[in-house]
Amino acid sequence: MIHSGNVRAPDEELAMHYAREFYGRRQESHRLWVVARDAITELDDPDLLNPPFDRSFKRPGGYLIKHKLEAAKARANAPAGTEGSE
Amino acid sequence: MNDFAHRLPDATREALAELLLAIADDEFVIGFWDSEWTGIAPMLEEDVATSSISQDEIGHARALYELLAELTGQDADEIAFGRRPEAYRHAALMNHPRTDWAFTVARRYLYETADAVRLEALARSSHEPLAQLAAKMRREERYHLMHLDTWLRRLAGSDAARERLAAALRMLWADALAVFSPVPDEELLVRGGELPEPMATLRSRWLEQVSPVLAGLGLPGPTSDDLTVAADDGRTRRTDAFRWLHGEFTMVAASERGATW
Amino acid sequence: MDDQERADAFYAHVMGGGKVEADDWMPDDYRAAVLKFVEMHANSELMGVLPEREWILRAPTLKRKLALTSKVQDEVGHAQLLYRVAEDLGKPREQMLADLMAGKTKFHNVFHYPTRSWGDVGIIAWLVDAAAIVSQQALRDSSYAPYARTMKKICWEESVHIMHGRDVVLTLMNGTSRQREMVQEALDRWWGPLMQMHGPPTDPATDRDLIWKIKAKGNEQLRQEFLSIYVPRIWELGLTVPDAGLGYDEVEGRWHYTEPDWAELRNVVTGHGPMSQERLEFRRTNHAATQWVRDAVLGAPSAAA
Repeated sequence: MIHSGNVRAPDEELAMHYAREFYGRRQESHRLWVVARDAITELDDPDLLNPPFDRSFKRPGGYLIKHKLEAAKARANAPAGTEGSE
Repeated sequence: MNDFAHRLPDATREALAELLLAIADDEFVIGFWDSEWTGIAPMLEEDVATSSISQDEIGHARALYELLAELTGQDADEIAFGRRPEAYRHAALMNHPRTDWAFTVARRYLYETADAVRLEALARSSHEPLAQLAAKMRREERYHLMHLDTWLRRLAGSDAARERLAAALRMLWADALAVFSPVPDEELLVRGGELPEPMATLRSRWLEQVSPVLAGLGLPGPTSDDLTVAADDGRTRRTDAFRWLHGEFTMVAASERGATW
Repeated sequence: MDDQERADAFYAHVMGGGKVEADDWMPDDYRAAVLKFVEMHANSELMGVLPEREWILRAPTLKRKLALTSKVQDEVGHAQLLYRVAEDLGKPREQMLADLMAGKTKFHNVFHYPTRSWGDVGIIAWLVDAAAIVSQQALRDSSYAPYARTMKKICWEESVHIMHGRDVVLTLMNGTSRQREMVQEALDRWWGPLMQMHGPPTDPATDRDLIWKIKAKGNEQLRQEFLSIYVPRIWELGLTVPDAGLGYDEVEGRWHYTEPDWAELRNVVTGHGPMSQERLEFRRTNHAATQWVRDAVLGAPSAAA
């Protein structure tokens, strides 16, 4: 479900008709839901959606494996007994 | 050591390191205890919310340990995982296990409100990196406060739940006051403005804010006994529960010393 | 139009690639099949939390602590999303949880096994999640549209988990010999369950989930895809897959492997795995211990539920 936009209408019935025109006349919508603005509860502090600390561990790009992979492959291909000290 | 740290006299730098360690350990240990709710919280929706809060605390601990590492030349993970239980400096409030949901809400409420008072002061610190970090932490802690305030009110609104909450608060008050136990050589930090106000002042401010809220919900404040518990060992008392937790969080790291994980 | 004509039209619609929404009319058979499928998926996410949750307190660095907690949190989140999809099909969440805890409904085989070391944590996050994502990616095309949409979000998050797991495994493989052994031992333990995970091959002519496009790919196809992507990635690290019969047949264009132990799979998913009863008991205990909280904030459950 995504927010397509808004319409101005005297009542819910006409709001639905207009929503159909504005957001459905090119078949860009499969379903439409219309909600009066004053029925919406909003998270009114956008900063709460903008965490200040590093959250890279929640994204695929937060794991940099290129060099680790190369090192592990090199070690796998090294002849036995040449792994170095441990 | 960074430029800010270089400019500090040795004694002040050591006191600052103690202060950072105390706050970092608070966040680290409460973050560990509360992360245990991940997967078993009362509702799936709350599970996700609670887990985020505990992750935030670990994130704050990481930032604080990194700041401390700049002062001491160590590594953040080494500070976090490499000490004996006796060397941790969290307040006695964090010595208790997760226990039940009422206990968790009670502890978190006490901690979040105390932390808010502390961070408000630290955002004015003369040690610029700490002031910046405190300001950043406050942005996340604001949501923690909102969430815990909501839970406190919800539970206080039901007789049975309020009784559980009250019992947990009675058990925790004395240890919660330890969040404001003086840190070693605190007067040096107050003089230099690294800690803009003494812990005792922050403690009074916190009590003035929190007591009326709890009283209004029919929940207990501290007793006179709680208020007179000696503060000296507030951050050095350790319990078997914490020793158990320490055993858990050092288990893998200790299984192969010096290894990279 | 009578019910039979209506059902025929419905099945023609889904078999032709059409989608179904929660409030569309659907035949009872289809509704029941989707519900069963999604409910088991939701149960698996919820039970899948437990093997890794045990290691949340043991994660060895600050970054691993954050990543593992976040991964387990995501799985709880997936359970929530999937139970919501299932709830809209008519079965209340409390009933689904009760059936799960009573052993009346199932969850995936891999979550019935113990997690013995940090090596297992890496192998689970990398390979169990990889095997899961292969089937979950196919579910983004499910005929049941709310499920398909949910899978998009879930797949994205799973891709993060796989990166976390692979990073853990690579770090161990670059470490001490004991750390490397830890990975090989974990792989040895998990390979059997991984090969069983997608289930025995089914006959596409009679597999209703496939015919109705609730799922888009058959079990064997999923297993082959998993092997094609991940066996080379396992081998390149110098790890040994514990199956002497494993190999790619260039002529047939498919992987050969020793027949997985299907008796073990049946046994495990019916609640006789090494950790099945312990994990269900853990769920029951924690559910009971937090009932008072739900009563306090949601209101006591009605007697009829």
